[in-house]
Amino acid sequence: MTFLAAALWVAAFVLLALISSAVVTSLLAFIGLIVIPGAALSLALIPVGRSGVATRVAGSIAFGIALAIFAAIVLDQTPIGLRWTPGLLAIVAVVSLAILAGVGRAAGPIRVPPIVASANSRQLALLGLSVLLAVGSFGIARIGVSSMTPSDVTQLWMLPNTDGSVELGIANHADATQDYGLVLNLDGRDVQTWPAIRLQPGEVWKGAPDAVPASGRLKASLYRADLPGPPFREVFLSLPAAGG
Amino acid sequence: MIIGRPAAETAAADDPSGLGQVPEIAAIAGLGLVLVAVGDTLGRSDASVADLFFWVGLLAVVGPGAWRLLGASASGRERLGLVVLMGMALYVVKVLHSPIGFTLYDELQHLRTFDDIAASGGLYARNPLLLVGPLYPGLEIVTSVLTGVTGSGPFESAIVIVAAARLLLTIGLFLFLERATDNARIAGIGAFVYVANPNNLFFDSQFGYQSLAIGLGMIVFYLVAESNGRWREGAAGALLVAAASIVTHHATSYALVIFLLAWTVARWLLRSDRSSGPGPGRVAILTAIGTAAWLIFVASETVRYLGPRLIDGFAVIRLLLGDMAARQLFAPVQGALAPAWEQVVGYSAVILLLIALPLGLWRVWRDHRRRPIAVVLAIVALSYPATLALRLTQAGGEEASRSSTFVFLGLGFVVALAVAEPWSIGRRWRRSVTPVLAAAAMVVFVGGVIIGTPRWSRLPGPYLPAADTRSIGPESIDAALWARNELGPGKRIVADRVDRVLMGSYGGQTPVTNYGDEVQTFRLFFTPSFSSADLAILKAGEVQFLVVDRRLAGIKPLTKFYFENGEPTRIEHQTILLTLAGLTKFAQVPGVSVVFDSGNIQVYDVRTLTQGAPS
Repeated sequence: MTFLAAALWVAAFVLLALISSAVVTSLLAFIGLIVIPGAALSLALIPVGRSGVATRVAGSIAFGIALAIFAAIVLDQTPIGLRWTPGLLAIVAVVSLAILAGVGRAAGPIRVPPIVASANSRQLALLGLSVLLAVGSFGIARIGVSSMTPSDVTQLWMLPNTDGSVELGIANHADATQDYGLVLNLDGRDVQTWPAIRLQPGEVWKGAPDAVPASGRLKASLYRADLPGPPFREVFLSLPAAGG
Repeated sequence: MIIGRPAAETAAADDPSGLGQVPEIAAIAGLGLVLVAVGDTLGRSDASVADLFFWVGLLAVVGPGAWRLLGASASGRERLGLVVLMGMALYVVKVLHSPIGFTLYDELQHLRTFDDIAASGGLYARNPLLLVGPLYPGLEIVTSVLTGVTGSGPFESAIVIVAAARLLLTIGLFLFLERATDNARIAGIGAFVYVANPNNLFFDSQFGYQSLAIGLGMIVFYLVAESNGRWREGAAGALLVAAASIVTHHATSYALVIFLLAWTVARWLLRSDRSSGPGPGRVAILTAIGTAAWLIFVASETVRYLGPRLIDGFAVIRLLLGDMAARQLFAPVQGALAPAWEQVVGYSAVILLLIALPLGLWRVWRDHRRRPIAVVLAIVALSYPATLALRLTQAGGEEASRSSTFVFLGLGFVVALAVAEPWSIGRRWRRSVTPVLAAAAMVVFVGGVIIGTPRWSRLPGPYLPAADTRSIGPESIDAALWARNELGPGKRIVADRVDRVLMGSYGGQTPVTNYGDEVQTFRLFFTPSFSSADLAILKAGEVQFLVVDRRLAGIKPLTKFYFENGEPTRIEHQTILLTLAGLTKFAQVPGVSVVFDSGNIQVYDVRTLTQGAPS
């Protein structure tokens, strides 16, 4: 049963790392940068020996959050500003750990919280199972999002630049490769065409007209090869346009 | 008086960990979360069975725990474990709703503040989506600490931070109520009623400043009660956490000050025993000074933000005087009425709480009227009927909903007193009390979810127009990201409510609104043809781009308005709907360009109108 309990907890942790390693690293960072400094402070602000595990845990989190907030408010008033470089944060964590160890040593030996120490392996296994199920539900939810109806978004744009030039763009955010045709039209007269533009999912095409007239309505019409008929997307510039 | 102590002591001998049935109940809650996740997944494809999975899953998350909390045999440690389990599992329900990114409206407002801090390295930059947000930067500061070291995005850090806030809330709540009554059963039941408050499942679990602040506030209450105001026993820590709460959220810090001051006054009036400590007075006064100082020197914008909301609160007087019509509860949404069972459970939850309220108040009077905390909590609970009346008004509905976060602290305590202490009933009836109470608890919980979250936003699902979380889809997000990349951040734009918050957060743009700029930009789209009034609005707001979502044409917004509060919604009892002509009229205006098209969303460049002809 002990092996099963350990396996369930490890499985839950590994599954969470597989689903979202960023959540795991954020959790570890939270413990290192918020909880540990807060725990050091809690040894000074909450009497040792009189408080239970829950009070100590809550105090560590609350004091750590308060420390971070006030450190930021003070830093904001300095030329450094809020530049949380990993090096600075690592120093904070190490110093806090040292304070925690020092104060903790003065207060007596560190003990395993009584709940963990006295829980039997069946209880630990059930708790591990519940965490594994919770992590699993997170995985199901994320798979559910990614398996939603495929996105079918194509963007077309035409933007004037400050130097008078014009930029055209097409972005394929659909889940499949798309073939497009682009026609540029000035006051009802086609002036340039791009008959075959193939874009992979997530790919962006950018181009520019060979010449930009000084005035008139410059219209870009996008066609999709698999959708005959009227333009799929349409944009236009009223020239002269405000650029930049 | 501690109910069931002998049974608890017996259990403690068999179970040295004191966890009792927490592991078993946690496993059932885990299964419940799997069901909720399946329900969410089915909801995304609009399967009708999704609701069933969601509700069954929710009941599995809270039902066994509620049963155990209502019973007499659990130890104090087990009850604390159950409350923490329930609070955390319900937080996971919210994460399952939005498992890969922020999809709640307020979260995107705070994302903008976070982005501004991360980009500029400084606090208090103007956030056009939520002007007061940057003035209470606690949440975003902690988020920036984590993202600064991990290099990951704010969403994952937010999951961890809000989970920690939820842990603070549940631990603080239980320990505070236990300290207030010396009774773990009352504390457990009170905490359960609190987590059944309509805001708990989504609003107070989102990446929002209130979610963090209420967790901090609850720790303040507990530390003050535990230390009885003695600095070295925890009151200094309480003051530190109260200060953090002050710079994290306005309403929570005001609630904190009011409660601590009321507690101090009650203690003075009741001539409580002073030998055990100085009480909450010093922490209360220093917290009040800190709150006032922050408001005056840093966050004076809060007055303009909260002022109208307080005025909305007086709508209940106009309702009572017959000056205004009552809002229809469970009103049809785009033609579809809420199912009858939802209406029955919603009303039943309120009725059950209203029945328990006077019973609990009587208990307070009979057994706890010399306890200052109990008296103050009872006074807080008394405001519950007033918030219900406010819910009936058009203007105060949102305020009533927001207040439940605070009102349920007192209500939970009073309701717990009503049901936790034995009434003089026969032994035969007493045996069936727990199942009846457990059923009532489920009604209160489910009713809270029904009341607090509109049916269309409880589960994720296919796109719905003008429906906040349900309107946040790939096309709108991609448009916002395009704006950031191609237009560059900081352009002055006008957009509907959902595209505005996406453009302001993911897009980094500067929306121009009546709320932020006192320019009624929402008027631009309600007339079918362009007029000089439209031109005046564009110029007054120095608008550069209009973001038009054609899916809004002809539909009634589920969020009550298309753009922002104050826009015309009805004329002569006729609902005003946006038309395609009104939305796209700018295409015919000389000098205006359509620079972006993604099918439903177009971006109009109106700079030639507002900045003159280009040089």
